[in-house]
Amino acid sequence: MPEVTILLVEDNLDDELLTVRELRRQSVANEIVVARDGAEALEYLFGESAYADRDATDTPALVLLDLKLPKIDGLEVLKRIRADARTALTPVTILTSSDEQKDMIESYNLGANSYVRKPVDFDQFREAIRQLQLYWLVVNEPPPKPLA
Amino acid sequence: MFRAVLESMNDAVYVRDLGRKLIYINPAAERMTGWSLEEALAKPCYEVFGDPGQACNKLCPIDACLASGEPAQHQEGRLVRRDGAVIDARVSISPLFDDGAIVGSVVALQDLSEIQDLMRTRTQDLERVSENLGRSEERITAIVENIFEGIVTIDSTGIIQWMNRAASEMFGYAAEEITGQNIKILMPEPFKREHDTYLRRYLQTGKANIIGTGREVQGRRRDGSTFPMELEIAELKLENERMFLGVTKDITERKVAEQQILDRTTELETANAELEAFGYSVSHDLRAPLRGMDGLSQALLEDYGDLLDSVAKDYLSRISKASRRMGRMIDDILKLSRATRQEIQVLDVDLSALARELLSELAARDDGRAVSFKVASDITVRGDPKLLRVVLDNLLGNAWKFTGNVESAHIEFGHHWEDDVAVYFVRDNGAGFDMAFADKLFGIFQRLHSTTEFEGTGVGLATVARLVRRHGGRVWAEGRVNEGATLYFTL
Repeated sequence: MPEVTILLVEDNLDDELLTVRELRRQSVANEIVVARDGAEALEYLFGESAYADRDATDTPALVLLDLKLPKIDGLEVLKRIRADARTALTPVTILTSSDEQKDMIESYNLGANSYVRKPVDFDQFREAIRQLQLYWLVVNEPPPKPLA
Repeated sequence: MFRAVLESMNDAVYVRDLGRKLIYINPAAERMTGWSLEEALAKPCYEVFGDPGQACNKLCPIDACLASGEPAQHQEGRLVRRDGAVIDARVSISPLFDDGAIVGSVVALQDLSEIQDLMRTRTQDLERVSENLGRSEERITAIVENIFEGIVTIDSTGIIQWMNRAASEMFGYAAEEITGQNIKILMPEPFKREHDTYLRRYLQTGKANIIGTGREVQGRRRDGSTFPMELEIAELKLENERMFLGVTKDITERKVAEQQILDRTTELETANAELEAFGYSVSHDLRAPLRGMDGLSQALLEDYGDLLDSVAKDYLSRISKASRRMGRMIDDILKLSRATRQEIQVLDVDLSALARELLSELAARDDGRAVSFKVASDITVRGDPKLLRVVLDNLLGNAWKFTGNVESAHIEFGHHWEDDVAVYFVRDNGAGFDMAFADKLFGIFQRLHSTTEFEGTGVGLATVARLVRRHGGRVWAEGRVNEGATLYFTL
């Protein structure tokens, strides 16, 4: 069985470092792919441009998606993920600094599976990552892969 | 019987023969002429009923009637009484027949002086009425000339017939020079161009654009400058002549004020939008570096702790703490800005129940402490439930916090009346404060205690003050160091 990946869409290098570090410290073994803007995230997911040789039906186990991103913002990325049959069921967790109500409502409207606000307090951040990975990678049954 | 009738009549009646000799006069005739029946019978008719000034003999209408045999009605006549007074009378003459032959005539005279009196009175009445009319016309003219609104009348072809002083001042034309001009002279384009069409269409179809409704249009002064005005037009019919009455008001000042309000609103909206964008970027962008600082300090401690001495570790934990504190401050500002931005929804709010709920939440969160509270019952107010919750949450939270070092902590929520105004309060027996700094309490980021003494960002009471003000109320505080504090507010 090929190893399922986690796609982390994050433009802040510190957040990226701390998130990846925390996932590794918590023994998450999955490959972690980092996209630093919305366009790169979509290219990875749909096997385009730099990711042309990737099999797009091989969807990530979890997408951790920031909202405020260069080029294409998180909500637009989410919209396109849901609009494409290959990724329509892929679990997407919004991981963002924003707790604006309109962002939450819009995210859920567009089909986000969960919404987590990144806390400033690192202990809380760590706890959020722990629960996230535990739930989505261990507890949750992933959507079945479409039969090729 | 005829005699009885004749004798009771008000009109004078006499009978004469063909030879002008009087045969009979009735009592009314006696009264009118001053001659008695006996005296009259001996005289010819023209001596009793004649007018010496008139050629009675030559043109006697009675003779003419006798000659033709036809009665003559309502002749004008005049007689001179025995005492010389002249009486105007209406005279009716009928021939008197006997066996088919004319034997004389019956003459009835109606005294016109009574009618003339009546007419004089009527004429006087009419004169008085017309005088009154003149006076009320003067009054109306005075009103119309001094009224603030401009008034212009035009005929059905658009020609100005008249304008009042206000209109003349408004447009800069003397009433004399504008009379006879087309109303279009007072309009700038495009009103000017369209006016003939409007007028024609209205006269043909009755389809009114402005008549009877009123609207804002542009007026044109004599010097060519234009100004905004409110115009109402009424259609009048005077002596079958169709005309239009325009009432105008120069609304330049109002327009300027409206524009100012509009500009100000736009400015405020822009400022608000900027503030919102700022709040958004604060929430997003300013928190991220703080997370980096806290997270990387911790990562350093965890991954390289064995390479650091205790001073280095202390420094790192200070960085960590400082960044978390700033994170909390940012969160609190955001809460404050959201609370002030939110629309107020006024409902009945049971403050007593709310206070009890919040206190039990505080107790549940901070299990180790025994705090006694007293909450006055049945305090219900009109206000926004969410915002009032934030107010009480902050006040009770403060009371809870500042009684942290007190042995038997006590918190009270209640109210009393001051000059018909309900004053609500939250009282505690905690750390209190120095009244010298009372005005600093409600400023943002103002703190009277160090963070080592009591945690806090200095935003709570600033939020309370803003929310209370948004409810139209007031907030103030009383306290003494180490003797507790009381926070008061009205709504």
